[in-house]
Amino acid sequence: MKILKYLLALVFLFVIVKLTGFAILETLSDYRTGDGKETDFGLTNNLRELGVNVYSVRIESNGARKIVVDYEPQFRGGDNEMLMDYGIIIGYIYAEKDFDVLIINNYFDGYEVLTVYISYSAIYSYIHGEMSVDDFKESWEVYT
Amino acid sequence: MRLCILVAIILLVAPVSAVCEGEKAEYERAYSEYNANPTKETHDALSAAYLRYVNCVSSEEVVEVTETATETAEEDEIPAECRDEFEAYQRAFIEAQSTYDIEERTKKEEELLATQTNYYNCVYGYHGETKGTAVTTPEEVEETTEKTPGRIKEAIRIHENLVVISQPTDEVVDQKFLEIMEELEKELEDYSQSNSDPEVMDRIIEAVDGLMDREMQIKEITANRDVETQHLIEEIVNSTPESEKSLVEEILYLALEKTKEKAVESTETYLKDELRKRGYETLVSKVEKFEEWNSKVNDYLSKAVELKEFKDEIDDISKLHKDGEITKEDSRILKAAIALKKCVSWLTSKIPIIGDSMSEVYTKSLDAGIKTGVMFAKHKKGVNEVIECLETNTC
Repeated sequence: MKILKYLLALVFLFVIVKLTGFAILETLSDYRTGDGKETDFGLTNNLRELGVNVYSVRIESNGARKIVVDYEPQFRGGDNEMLMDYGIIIGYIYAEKDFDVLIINNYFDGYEVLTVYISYSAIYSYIHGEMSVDDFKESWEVYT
Repeated sequence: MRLCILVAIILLVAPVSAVCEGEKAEYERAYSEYNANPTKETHDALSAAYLRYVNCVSSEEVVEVTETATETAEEDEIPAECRDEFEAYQRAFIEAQSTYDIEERTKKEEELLATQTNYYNCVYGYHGETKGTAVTTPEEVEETTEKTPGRIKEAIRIHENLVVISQPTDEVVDQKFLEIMEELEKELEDYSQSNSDPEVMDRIIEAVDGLMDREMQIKEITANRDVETQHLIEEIVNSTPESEKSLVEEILYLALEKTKEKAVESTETYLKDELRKRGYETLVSKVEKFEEWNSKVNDYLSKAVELKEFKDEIDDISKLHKDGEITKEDSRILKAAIALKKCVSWLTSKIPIIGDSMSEVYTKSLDAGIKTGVMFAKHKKGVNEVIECLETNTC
């Protein structure tokens, strides 16, 4: 009988340890805010690894599938660095995620000053050579 | 068993960290050194470290692609006939990413474009023979393009607390100016009513007065420019011995042309050195003073062109005040508004997302970024696939 108790306790302990490990892994990969918004640390870290100064990348799915990127340019490579960063954000998220619209919140000196909306269809058309670069930029909706 | 689980967890948590760890650390160190001390040496070190890191990451990717050659869909996209072209294109791409120097980068991007064209020519030739196998049909593309924007626009419009501006970006900026003007008008009313906190407005008006003073200085300098230039040249030529006059005149000519051609600088330095060798130090210093002065005048002139539009608007307001259509206070506030508009215009022109049409440099930067992002995502996917097959023992 004692052995049975020990065995049960051992199984119980094993289950707890597994659940805790699973919870830790879940927390590491995704941070859920509970209101349909989900911070994707994987995307954030990978973009930062590419030298893009991204604060966070969130996935929102109330209605359209939106990916919201908080970004601040550093201008260490000149003015064109901002476009390079935009390209990396667009290219990486395009290849990595399914979404309808990409929203880039631009920060300067820590203040949010500009929001740019870029649709998936426009990115698709530009990457596949169906749209000129000027038309692509014109398709962006800018909120200042 | 537990050890296996532990290893699996570690591999899952840090899928790429073990790859190119040394190169990455070196790149990060060079990056922080460059940030702390942005010199040519630290820049070169950063470029070299970045290149090593990208090369390492890229070689890992090549290994994976080779190892899973018969299995991955990605591999199918690169025809065997075009393997050399693809590798040349990949090398050129990495090279192009390895520098922050714009001139060097432009050169490398030209090479990249050439290798890209070669690769595409090869691929399109190949696909031409197998047309219709794995290409998205026009109907599918059309369907995606038609459905998605409707959903996006709808979603954006209902987005809480956001105003969606659908006009072209230049119009958006103009609209922002109008808002600022309206705010200033409101402020004018408050200002004339209470007059309790005049400090901010006074500072703006002071700034406008400063700009106007500068404008006047520019006018004076421009008016006197020809006279003073003539005077200075005569002074220099008169104090030059007859045998050296032609040499001095040549220097003066080069000094005048300095702002137009960089190539002139080295010739000019040579000529100055020649004069110094012959003991004409004072003469050279006078010439240098002339150069400095001429350069300043040119700066002022270019500013004057920029400020012409601004000045016209200010003059219009002054005229309205003189004609008695607006009060002196109205005139001052409107001038301040124009100054503010100028500031906002300058600031927004510095943001390439809002600025005018895409220049070639911006376009190339955007394209390079997109390609980097797509390639990086593919690379990560490849690494994860290898880890998965190692875990499941299916490699």
